[in-house]
Amino acid sequence: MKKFVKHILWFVLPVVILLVAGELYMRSIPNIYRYKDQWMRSRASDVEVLVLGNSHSFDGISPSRLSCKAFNLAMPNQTFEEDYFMLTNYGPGCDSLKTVIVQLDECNLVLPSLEEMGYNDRATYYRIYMGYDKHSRWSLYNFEMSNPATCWRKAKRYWQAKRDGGNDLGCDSLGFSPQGELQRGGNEDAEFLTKMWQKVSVVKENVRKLTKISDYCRDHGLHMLLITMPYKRSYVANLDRNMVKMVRMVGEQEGKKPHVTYINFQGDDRIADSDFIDNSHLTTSGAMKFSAIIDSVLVAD
Amino acid sequence: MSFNSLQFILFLPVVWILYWYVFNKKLRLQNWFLGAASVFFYACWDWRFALLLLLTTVSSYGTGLLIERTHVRWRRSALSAANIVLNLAILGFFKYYNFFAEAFAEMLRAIGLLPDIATLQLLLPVGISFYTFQALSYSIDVYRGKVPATRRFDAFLAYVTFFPQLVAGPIERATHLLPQMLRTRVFTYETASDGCRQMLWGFVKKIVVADNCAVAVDMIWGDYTSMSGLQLLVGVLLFTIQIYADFSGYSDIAIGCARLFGIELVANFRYPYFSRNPSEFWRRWHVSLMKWFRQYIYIPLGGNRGGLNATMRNIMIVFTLSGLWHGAQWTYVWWGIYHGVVMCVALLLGWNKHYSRVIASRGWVVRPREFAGMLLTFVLVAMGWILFRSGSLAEADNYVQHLLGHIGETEITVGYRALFYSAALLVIDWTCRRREHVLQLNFGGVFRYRWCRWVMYYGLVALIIHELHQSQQAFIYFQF
Repeated sequence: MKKFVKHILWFVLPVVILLVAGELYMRSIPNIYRYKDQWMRSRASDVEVLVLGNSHSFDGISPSRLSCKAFNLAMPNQTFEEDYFMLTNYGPGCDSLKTVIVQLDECNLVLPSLEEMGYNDRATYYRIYMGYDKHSRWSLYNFEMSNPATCWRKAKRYWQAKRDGGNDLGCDSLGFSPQGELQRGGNEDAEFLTKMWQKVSVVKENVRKLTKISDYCRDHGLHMLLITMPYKRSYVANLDRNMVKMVRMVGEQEGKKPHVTYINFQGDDRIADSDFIDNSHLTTSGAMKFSAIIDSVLVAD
Repeated sequence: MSFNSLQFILFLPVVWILYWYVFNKKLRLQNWFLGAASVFFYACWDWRFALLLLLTTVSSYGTGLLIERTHVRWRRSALSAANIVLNLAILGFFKYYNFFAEAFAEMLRAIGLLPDIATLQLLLPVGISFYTFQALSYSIDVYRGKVPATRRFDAFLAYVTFFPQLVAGPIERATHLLPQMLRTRVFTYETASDGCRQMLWGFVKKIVVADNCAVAVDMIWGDYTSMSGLQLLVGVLLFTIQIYADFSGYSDIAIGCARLFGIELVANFRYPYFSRNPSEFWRRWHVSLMKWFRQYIYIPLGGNRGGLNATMRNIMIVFTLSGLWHGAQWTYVWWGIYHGVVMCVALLLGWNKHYSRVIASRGWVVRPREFAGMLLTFVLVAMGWILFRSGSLAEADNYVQHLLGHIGETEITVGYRALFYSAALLVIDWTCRRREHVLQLNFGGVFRYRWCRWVMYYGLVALIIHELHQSQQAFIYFQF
């Protein structure tokens, strides 16, 4: 038996050492999840406006352009579920919080949870760096190394950023992610969203989650600014008409509540097609323009 | 606690160390420990499930003793029947109540009545079908006098609850596993290291092959109306491999894990997709369940002794029940009926030769007739999986209609990675088809050098870690 135990230990030890070392290294790489968590824990008390949503808001609303103190808590692929978690996790620490900007568009209305979309790595980051306890402490969502392929990509991106002397974090000090001015094309997302739109149960579930966010704002005396982010006109034309109508309907329904203001920016003339890097993400200058529009709305409110 | 969970990675070494180093002095103590660890393993899903497991264990244990004490035939029959009814009632209530309630209501609606039959929000205890059948086999074998009733509750508890095979088999019979619980287990390096290798291969099948297939299959089945005919065909093929890799992977882990504890479990899969006729397939697929049905249903019904009609009737009964065993859903029942029909047709055509050895057991050349048989059996089995995978009969029908309607479309957008792993698995299985499991090494060739073996093991571990992000998929057979 000694021989067996010895062999097992010799075999397992290098694997364990590699995994632990890899995990420690991955956690030492700066990332937006930890940054935002630390920022909110240390400096949230004087925040007046919180921005929630997915990459469209993450790349589209710059708190530095708002005249009140704001922070962008949006993340790529973030769903209403994580929005609600952010609000309940960090909201109580925001003593000066007045307004929560919530994004409502075709993406976060028709797409299912991060795990169902296969974004296990992102679900892992929420668990590790923000303490979202959706998954048990025994699950693999507690380890970055449970997504080795993503770890490799993340490490490569980090090394490249270090070598080029660029921003290795992925966002500015207020949580906004400037995307530059380089334009890309493509309309695959329209087809993808149209396919996802068929799943009525997912839409229903997302509306329920949005209502939870709205209820939280009402219960805590917060104003909810519900916005539909601008898209490229050609892209909107590609989207399923019923899906677009559904977004508008859900937004208008929520907008009837006294603490909610709903604004749909799709087709807004102030944002031109040249302000987008692709179909739905704004360039840095487009984001600045859009942030100024949002600021005017906040000031008017 | 699933085999592919973090808890199990911690649970296994702790239990193993305590089993061999602390509780090894007395067999009874070791059995009690094994039983307690297994109940804990099961209770990790839901502690209430553990109570059911204990109820099944106690009732079968008590029945065994009572049967042996009495020599009056009708009393023995009554006791055995009572235990069967109790166990099947538990199984039926948790697994089939809603199914039969809905079917009954549907029937009443069909004749114009408006029934008010409540369905219940019942949680299905994990692996209930497996341990219920295992416990039942004991009391039936005692009744038949094939195994003496044991007075040792420690051994019986360890027999019913033994954690490696508790939730998804292999379904052990008392004649095989119980005697092992009654005698001192001996640790041997060769058995334990072979067990580790079998576990490793089980994890490869589950995490690398089955989970990759699962992702593609879910995508294809979730959106089959917009997929090409060839893509749907690939979907069927991938599910065929997924269910094999998933379930046989679990069985490999279970058998390998049991070997670490000095216990031998029966083989559950013997390269079933290389079967030359449906009859051979069912002697190679989920062997322990099919043996159970043969021993306790098919043979008591008369088996093949009553002529062709009686044989076909018995086959249909067994396969329908086997479909129902898989789950409370019409698709499973029809899947069973489908295989029953396939078996009957094969019987009528004389396509049921009994092969004792695996295909091309002595060389590499396959006879054309055998190859054709293997191909046809594979196609028939794969068609059956469409019923098994679909959520309803309508879905299965639509899937097939869409597949046939778009058979000319050849665009494949999903599943390349899964196809690669599936093909690799089939090739490896074919190469190793004479072995009990793929990593049962004969230490010949390059594998006589330890470093070569270790390079291979590390390669497989690296592959598992690389594919681990999708491993949070549950084993398919846990739901049964």
